[in-house]
Amino acid sequence: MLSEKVRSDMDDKVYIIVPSYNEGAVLAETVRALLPLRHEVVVVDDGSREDPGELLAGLPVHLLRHAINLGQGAALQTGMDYAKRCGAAAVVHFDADGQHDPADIAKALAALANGADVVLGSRFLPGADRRRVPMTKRLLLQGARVVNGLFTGMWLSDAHNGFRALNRRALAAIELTENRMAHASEILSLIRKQRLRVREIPVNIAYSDYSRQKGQKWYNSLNIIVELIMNKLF
Amino acid sequence: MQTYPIQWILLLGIGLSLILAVAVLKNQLLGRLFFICQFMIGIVFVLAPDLTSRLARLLGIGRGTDLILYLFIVFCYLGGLSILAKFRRLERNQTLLVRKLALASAQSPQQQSVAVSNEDCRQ
Repeated sequence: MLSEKVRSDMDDKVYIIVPSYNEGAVLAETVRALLPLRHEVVVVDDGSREDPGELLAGLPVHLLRHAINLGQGAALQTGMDYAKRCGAAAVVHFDADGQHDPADIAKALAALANGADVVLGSRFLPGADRRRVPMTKRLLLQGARVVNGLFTGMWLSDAHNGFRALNRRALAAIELTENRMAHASEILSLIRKQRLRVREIPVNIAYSDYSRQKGQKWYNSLNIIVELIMNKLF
Repeated sequence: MQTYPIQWILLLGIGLSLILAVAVLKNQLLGRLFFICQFMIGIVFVLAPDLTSRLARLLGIGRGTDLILYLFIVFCYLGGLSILAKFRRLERNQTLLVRKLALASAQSPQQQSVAVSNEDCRQ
């Protein structure tokens, strides 16, 4: 009986997946901000130089390590595989660099409860503070939005926003094979292919100097396009 | 039949490449046959250069050299693409391997605080 209770507890657990690569002290700050939500926090270290175990010592998190650096897409998929094994009811993708707002997680889970399979964060919906997004970034994201639309058939208000939530159905249907940044577009085409119900919610992104420096450079968008084309071919 | 030094140099190159290809492609009959055929054609073209010119004219190309050049470009392109495809397959396998290792050695919160192992998620 007890084990059944444990099982049912496990069944409604939400796993917050935090992919991390050489984040340093910011990772621990991000994790600490997530802990009060009382969800499971899964840190997937993508082959960082330093062992994140020391930074996270004493914090109640699940810690997985890639032996070598593979890319953010691969880290997310490892986290999702882990959450699936633990019987997660839902997962949330959350950036390690502190640019996402933990308060948005409850909104995303509410949207899942209202029937969405996938919830995507958007910086450009009414309710999100779009002025926070730097001008050059805004232009670049508009371009990425169009590329995503053309490649995946999904026309959304934002592109490459790392904040997402997936329910169990989406978790089972989505298997990322793009190891690097093109996974953001890959998720969109999988959503469409698998006919998942998707909803965008406004989220706030804090652009600190740190996240700006860790974030995507404009020329990476060219790499992403090449990766997308390669994925179509092979 | 008169031969020129360049023909001997080319034949030597083809011969060495053939030995390398056959040695590298162990247990791959199709691959070996493909390369052997290719090198045979190469040898014929080196020994009888006029043949390429005649073939080229048949195909509507002026010179035999141009025919070889065009074939070379197509070949390089196909070769490059197949290496790229192979590369992606290797990368995929590498990802699966690294992921498997990560999942097998995952640490859950219980394991960090108390010595209770949570095998559920690792299997």
